[in-house]
Amino acid sequence: MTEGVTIESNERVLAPADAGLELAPYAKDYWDNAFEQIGRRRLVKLAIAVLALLYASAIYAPLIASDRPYVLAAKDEVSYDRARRGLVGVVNSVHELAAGGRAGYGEKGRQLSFEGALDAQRPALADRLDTMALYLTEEQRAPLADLDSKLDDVIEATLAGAPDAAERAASLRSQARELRQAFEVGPEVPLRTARSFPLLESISWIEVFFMVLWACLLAWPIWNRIWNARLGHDRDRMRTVRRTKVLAVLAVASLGALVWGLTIGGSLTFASAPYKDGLTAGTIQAETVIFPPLAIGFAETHVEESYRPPTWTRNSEIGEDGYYVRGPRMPEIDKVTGKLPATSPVSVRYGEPERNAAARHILGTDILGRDLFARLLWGGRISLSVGLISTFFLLTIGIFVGAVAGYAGGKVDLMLSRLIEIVQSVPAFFLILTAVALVPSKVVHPIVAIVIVIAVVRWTGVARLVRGEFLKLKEQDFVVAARASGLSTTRVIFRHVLPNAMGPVLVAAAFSVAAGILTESAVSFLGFGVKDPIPSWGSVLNESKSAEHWWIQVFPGLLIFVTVFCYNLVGEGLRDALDPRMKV
Amino acid sequence: MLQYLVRRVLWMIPTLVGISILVFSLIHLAPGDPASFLVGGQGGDATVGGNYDAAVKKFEERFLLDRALPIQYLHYVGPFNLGKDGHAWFGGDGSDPWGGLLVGDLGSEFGRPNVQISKELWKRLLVTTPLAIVSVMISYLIAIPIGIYSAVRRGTRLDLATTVSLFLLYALPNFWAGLMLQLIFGRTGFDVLPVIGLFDKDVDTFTMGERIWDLGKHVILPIACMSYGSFAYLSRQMRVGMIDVIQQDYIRTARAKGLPERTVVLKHALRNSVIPILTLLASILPILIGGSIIIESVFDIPGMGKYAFEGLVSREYNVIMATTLFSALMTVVGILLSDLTYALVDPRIRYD
Amino acid sequence: MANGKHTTEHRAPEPILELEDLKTYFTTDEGVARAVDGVSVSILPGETLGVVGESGCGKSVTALSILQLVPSPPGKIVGGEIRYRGRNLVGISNRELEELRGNEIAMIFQEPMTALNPVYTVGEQIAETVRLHRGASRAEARAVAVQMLRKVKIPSPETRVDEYPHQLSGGMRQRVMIALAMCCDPKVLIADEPTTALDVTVQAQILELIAELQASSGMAVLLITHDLGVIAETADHVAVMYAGKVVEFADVHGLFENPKHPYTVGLFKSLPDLAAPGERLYTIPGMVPSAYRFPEGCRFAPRCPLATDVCRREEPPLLSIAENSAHTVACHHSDQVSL
Repeated sequence: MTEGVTIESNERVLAPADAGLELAPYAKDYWDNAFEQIGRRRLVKLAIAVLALLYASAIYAPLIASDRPYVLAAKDEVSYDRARRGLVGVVNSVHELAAGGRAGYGEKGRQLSFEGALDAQRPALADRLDTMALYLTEEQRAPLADLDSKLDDVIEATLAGAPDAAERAASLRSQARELRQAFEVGPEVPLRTARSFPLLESISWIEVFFMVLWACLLAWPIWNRIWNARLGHDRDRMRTVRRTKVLAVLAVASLGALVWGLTIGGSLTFASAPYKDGLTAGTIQAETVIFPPLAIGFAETHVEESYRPPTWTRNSEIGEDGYYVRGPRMPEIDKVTGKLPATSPVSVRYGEPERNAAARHILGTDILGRDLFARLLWGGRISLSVGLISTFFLLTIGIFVGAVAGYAGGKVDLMLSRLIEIVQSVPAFFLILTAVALVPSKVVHPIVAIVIVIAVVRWTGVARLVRGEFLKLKEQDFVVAARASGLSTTRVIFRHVLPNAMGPVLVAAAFSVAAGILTESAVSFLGFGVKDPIPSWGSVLNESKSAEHWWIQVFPGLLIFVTVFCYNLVGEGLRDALDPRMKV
Repeated sequence: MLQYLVRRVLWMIPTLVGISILVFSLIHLAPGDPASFLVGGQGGDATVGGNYDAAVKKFEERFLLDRALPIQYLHYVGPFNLGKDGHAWFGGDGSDPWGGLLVGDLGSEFGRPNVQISKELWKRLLVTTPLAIVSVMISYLIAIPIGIYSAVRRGTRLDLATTVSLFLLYALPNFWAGLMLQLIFGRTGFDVLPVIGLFDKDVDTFTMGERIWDLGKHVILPIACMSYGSFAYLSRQMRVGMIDVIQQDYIRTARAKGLPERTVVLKHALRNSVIPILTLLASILPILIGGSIIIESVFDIPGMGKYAFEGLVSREYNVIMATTLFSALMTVVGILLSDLTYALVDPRIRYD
Repeated sequence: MANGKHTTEHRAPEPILELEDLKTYFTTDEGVARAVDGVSVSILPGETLGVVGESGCGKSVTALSILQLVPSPPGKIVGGEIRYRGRNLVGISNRELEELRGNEIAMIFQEPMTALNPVYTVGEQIAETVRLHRGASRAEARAVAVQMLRKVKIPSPETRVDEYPHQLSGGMRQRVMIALAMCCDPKVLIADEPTTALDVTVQAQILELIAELQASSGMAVLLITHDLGVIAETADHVAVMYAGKVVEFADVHGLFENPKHPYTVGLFKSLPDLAAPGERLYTIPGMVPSAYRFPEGCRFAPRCPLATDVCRREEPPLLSIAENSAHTVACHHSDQVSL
């Protein structure tokens, strides 16, 4: 037969999907296509929105539910008094140290060295002086002004071993005693109203970083549109600034955290004063108090409201005397004693919703009467981050091992593949449980332990994926060309091969976040996770194994379920968008 | 074939040794020793006599906890008993020369020293294994037809509904599902099924038939809880596999031959798409074993999972070792099993 | 070939298979792809009709449409008729179709590597068809399978019959495919690029085998190919397809000696043995238009050197080049076309 010219290489039955692409008004790259694909799926978009909301609620948890007020303008005689009396205590300690000397100090069981013990007195004094200064005018507190410098002198003298150190300490002590006397609250020493921001001051710079970051992400649809409009919706320019946008968001968040850390963060004036108790009892006389929407902290107990059903249900109603009005919790007269079981009335603290208000415990309470809503809100911080962090680590290990195995090939590949096989036959859940249950929480925080062990036993899937992609990609023309043109191995891997292997890895990542969340919940559910009073969704679920307290069983589980479901949806969406080969 | 099998089994040994060393060191390196925990906790004579330290020492000696870690490990593995009453070669008095894993001795519990863990584990496995087998079988038996159906009817409303429900099931955490099943079917809900344990408390008075009925009622919820996850997973895989196979050229060939659609699907497509599903057994088995800890805790079933849980709570080193090693063994066997079935159903696979 | 290339003058009046204005469209998210858009051809008993065209011109879909094997959704026959022995196959029940498939009309495919089920032996796959259409017993069917393998010249068919497809070479597998197609003595064989995936030497053997079998059984062959060389060797009549339509239809001599469509001429010009030695091969400029967006008027106009306004406006009908000639062409300027 004569050899005809091949007009076509091979004709498949028809692949109409890519037929129209060349007519698109602009050439789409990988991410354009991915975004477009995701944008087309309503369910996936919904899942992303739900996840964004869940993360937002966890990140902003302190702003939503806390027992610290945003703003407190008040006279707090109790804490003022405590600080005032504390002045002498500090100076006393210095005196003792100075009098006893270094030699008398070194007994066993001391946490601090002699120097350390002395040094610790400086901030202690500063703390008390700061507290007092809050309620005193400039003039009033003039006598206090040189106290800290005098204390410094005495400490320096003691450290230097000066012979008169003990003497000077004694004189300072008597001075402090006089001051204590002089500053007692009374007609001569009227307290002024101090304005403070307890809640904001309790927020660390890390939290601020995430709060700003999340605000930027949530506002993305708005600023992204403006930015794009300024670029004239030019696809090519939009594409080049994509990375700039990501960096800009990170920069804004870091800047926020930095500014916060330098100004507000760390200046904890009110350390852990029980504001609500003080406000309720009247020892704090408030002018202005602004509490978060729910003025109940996640660890705040209301023992008299133990296992109270969600307050919008009928059976949750409690009478003035503290007894349930109806439902299974209604008190029954004891047959032996003929009396009602003892109970105490519900204490409604300052800022809290009324006793039977629907918003009081919208999701009910646990055994200690802690508000479930607040606990779940805060618990999301652990549950949601464990998945992400463990995935980050397992991706790191998996990508590294997979890349090395796939790129190096040969013996290295064989060995690493064997390793992967062995790790795969490790019973993961057993190992995670064993590690978390046995490693004491003082040595390694249980959450850290969970993250590490998840990463260590679950990286194999990603490694296999990356290895496969590498084996396939390294034979392809553009990689061969990059190598032939003399690029270094690392450069070829990071610039040419890895980005092309990222699609399936991202898909696997979404699923492993879901798996991580499930694992943490399961471990915490069995009681091996976070330690009380820190909540995680799993540990809250663990707090009741009795079906009578259905609210404790339903709500945390529902949150876990919704989160895992959304992550799975996102994973599925990413698979369709990024990885056409795996498409169903 | 035999050669292949032997080689595969031999390959399991380093894996199992590695896991056992890993778990052993993890257990023993973790601070907080069971001696003080146990002796303090229940040691009647120790606390009364006030001789706490001596009691701890006696305890440690008995379980060799005072020896170097490698020695403890070798003692655990056997076959020589390295304790005081152990083999004469290793300084024992020879009254009980053998012991350890290799002679089937998994040690005894700290808390109940006369309970042989191997016997206890066996007793527990008689509970866990049937439950696991039944739930695997149920998963496959439901998953395959559903997968086929929704692949063949791809794109229809029913397919969509199935896919979505399977997706929901797949995301459902099993511990929560267990709690919810108890909530719904137990006394707080419809009150139609028992939610705790394997038997009624009055089981001793029951006749044989009543016992079986009682057992059946008790295991419905646990089995449902153990099966739904793998069932959802398998159905999804089956659907994907089936859709993939149905688009293959050989299916077109089968249709071009004039075969009825039923034969095309059930004969030509099914066999090809079931093969990958069978290999998933390897990944289902360990999940099932891991899940048994949770399910058995939720439903209070005295199986291996519960045993492992109790061991972890009370730091029973030997129990933790035994249960972890057993589940590792099951994982490895699961992988082997799925490779073998793969080889049996796919003519393209050869043993070499 | 064996049945003669000189039957053109007196085309028998009774075609065994006729396509009339066949339209197969694919409906996807992108829109509607008119893969086959009004194809009319006919095949006489015992003759070979070649269908030639570029990738994506719709020739494979035409072939699949006949046995209604177009994946559906998204594909669907939306119009026209497929007449086998005068009976329209469009819209008949699946049962009736199944009786025709593999029995009256058989088909072989391009990829012998993937067209056989990997988990059944070749014998089982052939025997299955025999049992289905002939109602034979297992043993009889197996005997037929061995016999068929022998017929397609597979060495030691008695052992090969129990082998799995992956144990055979590509050429062998295509022989098995042919055996599978021929085992029920079909009246029409549709061969969709039967040699494209094979080595050149094997290609010739396979074509020869098909020709031999055609000669002995008297079946008609619809040969889909992009290879003009194959057409020249085997076909009696040729239909040239472009963008879902037949643009020229003629007997093989008429077409090769006197092509009347600029596209056909372009195809010939791009053959190496017609180009002068040392000269660069001719290529038709541009690309086949997307089936979603065919141009108005003549679909070849954007690539045609002779195109005028009328071409861009009006679609040319398929007309005879002369009175009483079976040679038809769809071109406004066919009188200006010459090789």
